[in-house]
Amino acid sequence: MYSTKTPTLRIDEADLKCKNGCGFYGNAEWEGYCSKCHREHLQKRRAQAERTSHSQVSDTDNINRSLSAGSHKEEKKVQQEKKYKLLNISFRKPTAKVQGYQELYHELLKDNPDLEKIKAENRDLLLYIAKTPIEKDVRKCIHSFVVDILQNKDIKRIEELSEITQNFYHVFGKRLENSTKYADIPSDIKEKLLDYVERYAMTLLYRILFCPPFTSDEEKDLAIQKRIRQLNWVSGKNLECRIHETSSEVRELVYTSITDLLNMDSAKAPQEKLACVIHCCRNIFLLLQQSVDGPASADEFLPALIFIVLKANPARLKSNINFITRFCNASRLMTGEGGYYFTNLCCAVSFIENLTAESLNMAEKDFNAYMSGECVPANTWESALMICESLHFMCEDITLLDDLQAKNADIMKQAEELKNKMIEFKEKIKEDVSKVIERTPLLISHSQRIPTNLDSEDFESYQLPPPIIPQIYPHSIGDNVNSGVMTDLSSDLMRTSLVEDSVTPSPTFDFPSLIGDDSLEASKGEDETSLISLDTQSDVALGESQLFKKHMTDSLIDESPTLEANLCPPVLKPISSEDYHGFTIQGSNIPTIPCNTGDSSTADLDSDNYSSYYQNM
Amino acid sequence: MNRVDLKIVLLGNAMVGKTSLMQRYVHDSFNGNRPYQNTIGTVFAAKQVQVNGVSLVMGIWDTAGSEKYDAMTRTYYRGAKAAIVCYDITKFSTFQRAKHWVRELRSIEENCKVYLCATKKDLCDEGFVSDDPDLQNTVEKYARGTQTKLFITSSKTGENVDKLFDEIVQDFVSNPENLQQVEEAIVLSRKPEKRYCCTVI
Repeated sequence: MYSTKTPTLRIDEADLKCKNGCGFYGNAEWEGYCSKCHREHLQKRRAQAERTSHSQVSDTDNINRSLSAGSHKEEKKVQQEKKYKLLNISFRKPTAKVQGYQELYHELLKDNPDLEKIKAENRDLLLYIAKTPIEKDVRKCIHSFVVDILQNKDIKRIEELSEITQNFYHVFGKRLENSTKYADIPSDIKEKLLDYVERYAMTLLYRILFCPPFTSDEEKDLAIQKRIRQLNWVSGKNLECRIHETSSEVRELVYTSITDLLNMDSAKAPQEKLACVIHCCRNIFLLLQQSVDGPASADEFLPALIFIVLKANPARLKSNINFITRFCNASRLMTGEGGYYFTNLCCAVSFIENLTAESLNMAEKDFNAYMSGECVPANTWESALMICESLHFMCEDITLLDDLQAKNADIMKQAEELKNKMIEFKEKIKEDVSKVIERTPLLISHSQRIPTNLDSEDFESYQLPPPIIPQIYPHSIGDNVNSGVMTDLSSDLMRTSLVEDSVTPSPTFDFPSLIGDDSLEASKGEDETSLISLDTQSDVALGESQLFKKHMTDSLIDESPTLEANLCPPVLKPISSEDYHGFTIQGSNIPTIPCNTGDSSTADLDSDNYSSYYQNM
Repeated sequence: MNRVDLKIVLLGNAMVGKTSLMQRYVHDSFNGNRPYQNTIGTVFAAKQVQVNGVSLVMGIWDTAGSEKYDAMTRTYYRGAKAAIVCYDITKFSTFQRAKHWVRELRSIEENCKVYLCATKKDLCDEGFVSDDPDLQNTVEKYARGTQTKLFITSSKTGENVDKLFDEIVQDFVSNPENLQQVEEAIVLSRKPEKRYCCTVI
């Protein structure tokens, strides 16, 4: 691609005119078209490429099943970048040249989250230099550098761009040292500033300088990726690296270092990429320390790194390495620890590229068989991992079981304690009760004496009424069905209200169960509970001796159906009878009750009872 | 600061004691007699030294000595100012390999000073006999012939280790070219080389 762009390329007279024959001058860069025709041609071709790329993808998929989907995306991405590049060329007219890079510059600046991130990370630094001549100068430097790169990106080779970049770092470093503007900044701020400028400029230009389409980076990426994929059977043993795959900590570290290495592709600035490499290598050291007793030397480190690279198979590995080599501040970053690890990474990659049967200490035949995928050695990392995984699960389960057992034992212990406490409590209560019984038997008998007296008295009287109840019913039924119903209802009402009130206040009702039982037996016709029977008893108590009173109430109630609204009269009537009741022991209580029932509470109940009653009918 | 002024590479067969040598110099410890300190990056160490009023940061690079990595070793000593080629005083074969490195360094990295270093002197002192009794003489003869400085060291006792590194630093400082590089970086002149497209006639 580059060769077509070199200025030394000779163009014949015939080539000067547009191939389309539109009369304008053509250009070798535009494949012999003029700018307008070339753009049209490109668009046409792009549409075609879009169509063919789909089929290509499926083709390659068939051919190379092992290729991951990620690499396709990469391919596409690179293709798109290439296209973008082509478009860019097509727009580049000598007159519009200045505008072209300005637009690109703004485009790069706009919506770049990475730049914002860098700014945010260096907020303190930026605040420090804000509104000083330094800020202006830094901005000017970055701008001139970026513009320089943007102007030259299509003309110069990547090596030259790298040179420009290194030169810029150098000049800026010198400027920091010597310029009067920067004279009064402490050296650590200078260091930060240098780092910031590099980071910012490289992140800004990342799209342009990373894996540029006019280099063979992309092809190399794919080649190494394929190579690593072919070598996926290589185990730690083959590389003579002592990684204890069975240890879970080591395995965790292997994963961490693989992740670190994979992160390299997502980082933008060269120093960030380098930092990923450093992290990865440090983790390798940690895992080596787990596996090897004593200091891990380079003899152990390099195989381990090779192993990690083989297992990670980082995306765009070559592009990343080239990007770091070209655009990292060589004098600042490449001599220290980062430089060391980076060199090791380069070595690992070149080892992988030139790997032979000999370097793995195995027979040529076996090596070829493994490489072609004919057979798979038993002891691969994956199989080891699989075994490890189940072991790992087993270990986890065992710990879980232990946990459960401990918990279970705890529960058992606590249950035992609870049981003992309960027994103790029971004993204590028993003791207490027996004590109390010992202490208070006389008192109980005293208190019971009075109710028993009452009971006995009542008992006799209660036993009397039941025969009377049937006497009431024949009357009412005979008179009128409605009136019978009404009597039922009204008496019900009376009873409930009576009960409601009587249950709570009177100390005489300490023995309701007895009465209930009795009354139930007695009042067979009534489906109501003991509460009703209570009432009947009272009714009976008063009605037994004086039957005519009953008739009175009946007749009174008979009248009531006509004035259904005011149900008070039937309730009130009993009062007169209750006056008569006066001689019973409970006489004092009873009169108060109907008064309450007469008003509010019963009215509601009434209507309810009515409806339900009629429904039942 | 990340910057390193003086890059030193350690070359030598596996198991000759490169890492131990570095450990002895940088951390003043030896694996054999002291429990290993958990330092990360035993293969790389940066150490600051003061020589003649100049503060230098030296970066010591350990390399993998196994023969299968021979092809890549070149990457390691790119830009190195000094190389310590180690061999085991008790093993003749390690010296053979050392000779190979000396040769290669001489031809590829002209600016790199080469130092021959015999390790495990303590074994010799204990009466351990080398597999080639004439090894000592051969090495001395070779060092004289190639004008290489020879140090016989023991990482276990620390004998001659500091001397070796001091010598390296002294040699580095004595070269004014190196000092200039440390004190002021060379400003590469920019070439405003503009190329025009041939269509612009």
